[in-house]
Amino acid sequence: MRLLAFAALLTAVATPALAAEPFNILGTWVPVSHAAARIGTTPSGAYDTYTKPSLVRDKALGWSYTFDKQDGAAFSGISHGPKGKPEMTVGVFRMDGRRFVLSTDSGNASGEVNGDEIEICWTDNVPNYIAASCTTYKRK
Amino acid sequence: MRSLALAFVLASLSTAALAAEPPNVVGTWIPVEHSSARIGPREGLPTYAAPSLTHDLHFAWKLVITAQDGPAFAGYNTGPSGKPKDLVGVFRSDGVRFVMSTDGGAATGEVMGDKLEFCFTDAIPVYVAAGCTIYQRR
Repeated sequence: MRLLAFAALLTAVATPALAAEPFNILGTWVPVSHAAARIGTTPSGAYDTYTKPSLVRDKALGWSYTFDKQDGAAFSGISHGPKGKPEMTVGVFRMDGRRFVLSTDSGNASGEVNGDEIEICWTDNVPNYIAASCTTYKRK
Repeated sequence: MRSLALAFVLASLSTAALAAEPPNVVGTWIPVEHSSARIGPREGLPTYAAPSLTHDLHFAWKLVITAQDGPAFAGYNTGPSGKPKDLVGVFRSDGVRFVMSTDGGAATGEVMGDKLEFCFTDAIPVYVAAGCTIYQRR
């Protein structure tokens, strides 16, 4: 009986370590800092065309996100660039409940929660356009 | 006055924690360790019908970073085809880890002292590959 209780205790302790409660990401997130590098023509029309690498640090050039659905680790929403069309965005938290992956039509990203901020880093790989960016967000 | 000074110190520490200064990565980086796995056809390589797993440094791409503005950087890498390919990258706010993009795929990496590691995944039709390479500055 004592062994059974010990096993139950071990299970209870081990379970949260395996799959932590994911961060509630619902809401609108706006950039507070942004850095990016890109070459080419973005298919969404969000940026100008660059024939040479463009390196920028300007939060006005970051995308904002509105996540309106979350079911445990999975979530979805819309992202808005500085111009051009909004994009559907889907994502999932890792088991630690803090780090996550994101995907849209044009690329994929990884992110993490830092206190009340989130950081999202993108890589875009589409014909005639490559880009990488990291943006820190606060909830609106 | 003392509390004002303390607040200033705390604010400085907190800012540094939020966005650490990234290292200067401009220069030529030489592969010192490499592992990769691939299957399918790729320019400059034999076509692999079955997965090929290797630790041969000859499969590592040469990395040259030509420009950097804070966390953002750009350059090119040269693989087995011998043709340089543009790359762009950005450091995360910790100033250590970064993401990178080329026309063939994406990579994540980090700087460890005088070494740099990046791990790529290729996204090219009918070719899949993943690899990690450790570089040292020339």
